[in-house]
Amino acid sequence: MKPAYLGIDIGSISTKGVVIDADNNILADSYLWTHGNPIAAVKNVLNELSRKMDASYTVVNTGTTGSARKLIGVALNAKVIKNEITAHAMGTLAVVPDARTILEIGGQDSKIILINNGVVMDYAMNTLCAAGTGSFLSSQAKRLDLNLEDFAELALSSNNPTKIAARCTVFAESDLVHKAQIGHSKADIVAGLCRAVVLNYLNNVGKGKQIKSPVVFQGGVSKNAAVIREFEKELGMPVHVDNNGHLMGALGVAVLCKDEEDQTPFNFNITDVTFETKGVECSHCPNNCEVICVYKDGILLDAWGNKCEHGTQK
Amino acid sequence: MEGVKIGIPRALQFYFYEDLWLGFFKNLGIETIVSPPSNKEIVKAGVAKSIDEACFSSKIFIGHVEWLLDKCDMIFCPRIENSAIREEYCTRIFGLYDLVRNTFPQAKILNADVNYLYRRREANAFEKIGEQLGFDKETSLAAYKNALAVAEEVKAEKIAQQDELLTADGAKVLIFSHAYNTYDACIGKEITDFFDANGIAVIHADIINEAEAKKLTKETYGKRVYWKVTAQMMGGLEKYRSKVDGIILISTFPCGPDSLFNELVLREIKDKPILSLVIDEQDASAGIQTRLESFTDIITAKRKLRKGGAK
Repeated sequence: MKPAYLGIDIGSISTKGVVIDADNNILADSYLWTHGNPIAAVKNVLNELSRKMDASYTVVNTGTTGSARKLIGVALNAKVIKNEITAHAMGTLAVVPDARTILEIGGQDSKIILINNGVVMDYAMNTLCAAGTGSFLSSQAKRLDLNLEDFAELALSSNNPTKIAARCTVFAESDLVHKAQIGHSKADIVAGLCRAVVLNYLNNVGKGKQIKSPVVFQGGVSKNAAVIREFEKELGMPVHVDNNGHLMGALGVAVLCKDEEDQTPFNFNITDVTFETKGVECSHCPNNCEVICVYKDGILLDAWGNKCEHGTQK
Repeated sequence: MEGVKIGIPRALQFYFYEDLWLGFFKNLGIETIVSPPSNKEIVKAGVAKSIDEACFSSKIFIGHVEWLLDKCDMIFCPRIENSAIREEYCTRIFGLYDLVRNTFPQAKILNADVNYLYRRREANAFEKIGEQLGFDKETSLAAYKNALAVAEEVKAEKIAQQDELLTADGAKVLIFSHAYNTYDACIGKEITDFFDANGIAVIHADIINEAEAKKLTKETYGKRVYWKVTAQMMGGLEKYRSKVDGIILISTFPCGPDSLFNELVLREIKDKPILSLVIDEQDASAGIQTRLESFTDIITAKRKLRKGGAK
């Protein structure tokens, strides 16, 4: 039996899974929508992975990342539960070992990670504002009656992007409507939107950060060729986009799993087990902590969310 | 005044004057009640009673006052404008007395002014407070002086403890934040708890000898920093920055002084990882956890790298 490592990245929009061998080669991968149900999404991802996997490999360790990392980590008994920043950096370095800057624009958040000598030196995430993220682009595409694939293609056909106020999503949206009403062509507006996303990103998340080459661009928005073009124009350096860019978080935790000494073969039958979660408001003190309880086949597995010792698991 | 009970909100100024205030009332034999650490109920009450533009910390203060209203005879809320000429508190702090008076017209407030521009010194204020409680000047002044001496001792002890922590091996982070944010159960505590749980020592920029802080701030920035508390923190930043692995800025939305000085810190300091966290009433601890976790990964990785290089 050859050892393999499983990494799962459960994001707000999509759930990604990879299985790698000891040399970081991807043996199987899966990319599905989360649809607001992380546990169901992970089960589907696991089903797909086990179908795609070569039977001569055994998964010996599991890692999770993404916003549901803790929930899924507990459910799958994962050895590594890592935040997205570290996971993405590790995954990217496995593919582009000399990467210095990672730009990431996801469904609801965006981040920048600066790397030196293979170690994360600094990072920033969008703060109170979700302007310039994937959900902004997709809602604007809907407004313009375009699907996301045509969106990029149409944007690339324009050489004269319309200037769109990029400071804030709300302003950008009203500006877009205004520009359309005064007669700018759809192609120019769409190109302008892609440019607005780039400018917004560089002025918010990337503010004050020194972006050094090689630059790697990830997240759902990195599939948009027009946004890549705008990044290259703005930064004056090539921007590398890997076909597997969306898998980097999952790949990162899988890579981190390799360092874990304690190995337990992973059972894909877990997809037959029912997991249930319950959010309970603890009523023992005025904090009313929201306690999340995870049940495996009806038995309480773990609970968290408590801020004090009063919290009880019901 | 026999049997009077003074309520003290556990917010804002309390974190600067805890030992002095409690010591003063204790010396006079006056009973006090301090509101509990902030909780959701207090925050909710404070947010409901405050204008939107107020900073989160001052909203919390109002919540603490409301909690105390039916549990004491008087609310202690002095109007402290400065602590010496040109050492100003922020407007939110010196406006507190008037804010409380107008928010809770029914409340009895124990007040005294501290404003060095008008020669209303701290000692005079405590005489006035004593007077309102039926004590003569000498008694009040003696109670104040004793409490002040004890408070200074406690402060010196804290500084000594921190100095010891600084020489210890192991990862350290510097918290650059107002005391009323750092120690509040609904603002900074979650952050310092995280570092405690991960075995990372927490150093506080505002725990520093005042005279030393003043000197360092002036040397580094050339000019006096307008706000007293910020000036103290800037001094601490200069003193401790080379001895820590990273810096955490905690601010409540929308803080005036922080909007200026946190930006300055972010622009000036390039040799240390800095994490800036802005807290408001929108509860979003998931985002903070992710940022803290990755920040910890960075400082741990950097330490490993340095150790590897030294070998």
